[in-house]
Amino acid sequence: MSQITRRDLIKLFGAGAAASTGLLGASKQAYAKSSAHIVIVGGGIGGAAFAKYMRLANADVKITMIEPNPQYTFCPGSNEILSGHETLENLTVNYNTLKSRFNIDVVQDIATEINYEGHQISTIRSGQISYDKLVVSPGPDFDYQFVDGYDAELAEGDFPHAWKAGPQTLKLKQQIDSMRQGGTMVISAPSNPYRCPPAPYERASFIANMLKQSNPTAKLLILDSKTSYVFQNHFEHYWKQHHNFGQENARIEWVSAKKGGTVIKLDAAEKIVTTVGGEKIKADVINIIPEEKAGRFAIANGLALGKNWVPYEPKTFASKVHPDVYVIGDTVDAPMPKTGYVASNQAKVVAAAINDLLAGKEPGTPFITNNCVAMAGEDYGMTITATFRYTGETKGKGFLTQVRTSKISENPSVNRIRAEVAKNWQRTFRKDMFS
Amino acid sequence: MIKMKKIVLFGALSLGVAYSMSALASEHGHAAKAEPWTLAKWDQTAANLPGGNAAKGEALHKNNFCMACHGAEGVAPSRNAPSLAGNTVEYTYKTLKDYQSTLRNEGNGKSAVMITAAQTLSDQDIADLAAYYASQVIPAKPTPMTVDPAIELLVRKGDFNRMITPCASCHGAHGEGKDITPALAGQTPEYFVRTMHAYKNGHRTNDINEGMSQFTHDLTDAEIEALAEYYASLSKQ
Repeated sequence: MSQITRRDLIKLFGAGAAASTGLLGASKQAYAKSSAHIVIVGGGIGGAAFAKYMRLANADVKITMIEPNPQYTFCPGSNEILSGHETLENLTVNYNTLKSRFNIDVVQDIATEINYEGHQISTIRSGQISYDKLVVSPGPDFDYQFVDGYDAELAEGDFPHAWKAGPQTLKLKQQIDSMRQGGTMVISAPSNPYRCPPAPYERASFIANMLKQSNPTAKLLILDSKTSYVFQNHFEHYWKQHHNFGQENARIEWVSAKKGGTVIKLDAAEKIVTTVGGEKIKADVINIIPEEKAGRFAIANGLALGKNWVPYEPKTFASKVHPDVYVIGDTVDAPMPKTGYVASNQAKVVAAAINDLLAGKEPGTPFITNNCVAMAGEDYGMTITATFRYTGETKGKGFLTQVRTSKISENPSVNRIRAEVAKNWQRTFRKDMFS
Repeated sequence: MIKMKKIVLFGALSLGVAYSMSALASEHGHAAKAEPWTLAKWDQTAANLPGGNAAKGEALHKNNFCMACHGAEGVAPSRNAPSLAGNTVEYTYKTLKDYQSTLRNEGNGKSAVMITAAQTLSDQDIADLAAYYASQVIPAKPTPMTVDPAIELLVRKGDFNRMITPCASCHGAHGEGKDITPALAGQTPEYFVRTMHAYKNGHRTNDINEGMSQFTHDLTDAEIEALAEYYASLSKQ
């Protein structure tokens, strides 16, 4: 990618010209001067889904995505890397299809500041980019302050949270693989809300399954900052069958926040965690999944209005700060779980709403779904379907929520097929955004 | 892979698919591609098919996830899956056996759910499901469509110049199917199109002697689309 050429172009003609010139040969279309310019901050699931579906809805608008990384690694499926059933490579995609097939101008850069009144966004290398509509999808940020002694530096070092798939995932795998026989691993699960609610337990389950083979006397302790979690009945059912859950010799143990499970302190040198109940636990591998809040970019630009998550208009996901700035994904304070599936659905709602507004029409009524899957092992899957129907009423934060979760089945075929459905979900979900 | 030349013709996307076919096989612990059928081997299998119980098949259909994609009565509710209602006992039986052995494996994870589902079934289960689907009927379409004469010719006479045999000679004059040749009447058109392309580019090879890859070899995309619409509009007679 030729940043210099781009910069020069922007200097000469302004950001719009650079956006539609298509430096990678992607955009050959000459947009009319009146074409709206839609800019996206963040090329994760929400941003990519928005870009693609905005293009499907409207062939004429200019779409620019600002994303610092040349590729994206999916978090869904990354727990399976820990057990060796998945690879980082298979979960990593690039932006080539968005560029070439959907005519999105992907600018590899870091967005910094929104000039709300001027309808411009600042970037580090590409200067100011003008927009008619701005969609902000930065994902969540980690909030380390709740565990004394834990920070971003330790997460990059010997205490990976691995809550964003990448090098930390591989580091954690290596730590688990090289744990001494009969060692102890601790997973600290955060309080709600956080990205992918069942994932700490899915992670624990995959690790326990692997330890059963490679390190059968090892223990896995989940210290939780919550009192319950999604799919709890499924995980406990599976752990009872495979890991003596609830018994003296259990391979996997769960300590609820009610029993003092919340981790409040890490002694990195001694590898000891302290819980709110005052218990000190020395472990061989410590995986603290930090608390979360809205993405740094959203908070820095005042979109969160001083809160932890970004408030928004439920009908269009327009921000409370400016009607031409929309916010989607995990960073939003929506009455929905923070999942990629929900982010992709919110993206589609915003694409439709912006398309309606550009045509001078009233946006439609959002109906958002969350179709999610989790696995306890390669032979046991579970599914949840939740729907969020826009009501506009204060009750339920603007949405009517209905949820259906798969029931416990004693039919091994069903459990195995559910696991395969879960893997299929990952494959098709990735394709929905990046193919 | 098989028919590399054709795959290359289909460009980078198909290549990716072809490479990941072997990845799928190892990923899910399946053996490499299963032994293809011979006519003699199938005849022997067909002669010894377990008797199917449609009521038991219906229970399996409802309890083993089949209906989630193929519809409450075997009539697909979306473009993602084929309808199974009204198909022949032999076709359903062979198809599930082919998934079980991974002979039917369209690559890139596309068949993974069906392979897993089939591998949880016994031969008797498969016979029961086959009996159930054979007993179901796809509801008739309200208005029959007018057929392009060129497509009707292809169906009834084939195309001698391109060595395409008439579809009706195996699939029946009304797309009702016969023995291991599937019924096409009322079939989900998007599934039909995908299937024809899978035959054409060598991703689906489980038919005996791979006849369908020959018949689809010279069909144009427009013809495949038109055939899909034609068969979707038919009702089994």
